[in-house]
Amino acid sequence: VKPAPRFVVPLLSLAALVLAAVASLFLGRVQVSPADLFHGVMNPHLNLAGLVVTELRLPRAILAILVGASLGLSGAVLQGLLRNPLAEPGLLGVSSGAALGAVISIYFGLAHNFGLATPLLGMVGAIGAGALTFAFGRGSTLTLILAGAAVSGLMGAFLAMALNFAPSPYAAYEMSIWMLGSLSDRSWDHILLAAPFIGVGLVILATMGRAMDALALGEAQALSLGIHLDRTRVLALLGVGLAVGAATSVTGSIGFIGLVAPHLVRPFVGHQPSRTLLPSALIGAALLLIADIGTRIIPTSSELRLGVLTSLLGAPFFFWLVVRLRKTAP
Amino acid sequence: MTRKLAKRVGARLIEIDSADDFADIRRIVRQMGDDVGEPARAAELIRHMDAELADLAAHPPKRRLRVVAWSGGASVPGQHTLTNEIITAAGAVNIAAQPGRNYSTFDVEELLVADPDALLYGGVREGPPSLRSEQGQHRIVRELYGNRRITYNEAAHECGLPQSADSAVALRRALDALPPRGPTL
Repeated sequence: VKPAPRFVVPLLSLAALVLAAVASLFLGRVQVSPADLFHGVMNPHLNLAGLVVTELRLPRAILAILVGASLGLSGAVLQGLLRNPLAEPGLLGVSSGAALGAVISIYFGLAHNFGLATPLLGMVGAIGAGALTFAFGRGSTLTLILAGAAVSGLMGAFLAMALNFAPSPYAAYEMSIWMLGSLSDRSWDHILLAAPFIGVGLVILATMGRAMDALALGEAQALSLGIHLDRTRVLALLGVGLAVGAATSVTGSIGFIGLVAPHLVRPFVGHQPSRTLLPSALIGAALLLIADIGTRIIPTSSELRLGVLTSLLGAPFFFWLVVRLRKTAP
Repeated sequence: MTRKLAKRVGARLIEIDSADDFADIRRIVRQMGDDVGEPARAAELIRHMDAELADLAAHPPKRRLRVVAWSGGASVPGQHTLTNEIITAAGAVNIAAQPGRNYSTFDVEELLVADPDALLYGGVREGPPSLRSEQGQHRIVRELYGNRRITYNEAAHECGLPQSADSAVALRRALDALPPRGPTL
């Protein structure tokens, strides 16, 4: 596919995101007509439809946008940085590290004593897991992916240990359910908690376009162009850790968005990594919004968890990607 | 595994069902009494439980309050659960008891639209606060139901015993003590 003009793909991605965001305000487990919702929001007095939009659906949509953008942008940066189409926060152990940090904080009641404990521990877990992956996987992309798998396994083992030593079956059940990921019943409190960290992470990641373009030519060429490789890696790790760590700490684990979003935009922007960044963030946000709408309108008595739905939809894409790579591999 | 090991070493094993209602509790307590050679004590426990239930039924509340056991909306007890049985015995109506829904999702949106008179909050257990107690603290729920939330011992609603009637009595008392409701949405 011939690359589209520079502004077309971001604009189309933004349009998809706006459409998904508007739809998410009008769709929920409870059906309220768009006219009632509109009148409810406009009514200055406390009313049911107004509360549904302003206190439930709007914060949920904003959180979906923040989390989806974090995952999409992180995926694009990691795929560009590692020059590997399979790279995403989950593959490098970042997501499971974040989940471990958040579970420790919430489960042991740290969040009750210190409000920022959950996002902070989520980010510490994400950055710690990512640092382990980078430390052990230095050298080649393959070793990095292998190290990521090992770190993911290690974080998974610690999570399993938390389940193992849970003081009651209820607690173990709650942890298991929480880790499946969800945006249900999230409020402005969650946005206030996570948004500052996600924002800083996104800004860091958004500034990495030039380094990624240079790295696409190879490490030696990037060095000759004045790119400081170690600093670039540390910045990427910090950005991914802040954004994905804070996002995971309020939603639980959500997979595949970081993998899928860059691949959806790449055919239309060409293979210049910096051009995938903004569209990946926008498409990641739109994808997560659409998946979240799905969890609300698919008629199940127990909510289909967001992480389960994104995995169900993302896994076939992953298979397709592997098959395509096998065909194109020399 | 535990049962297999117990059988292997020749330990005497009594297996009982879980109880989802007071009829189950009567049956299981009788079975236990017979199996351990204490049928009279079992009968006494059942008599005490039935007396409490009969007293509740004989003095129904002026209005059957609409309640839901809500500690976060991921899994709320509905039909064919002991919680539903306790709520009914206490003279209230469990609004989550929909046909075919034993445990189901009941998110804040559904909660606001259903507009219950009170929430039964089982998120507080012994030990540190759990993930679920965190999820049960949605700010809009705090604002609308801050003074209409009844904390109960969740374990007593999940393990059917003759003492489950005590839970129904405690719930009735808590419902009677609720402040009058202000204007609804």
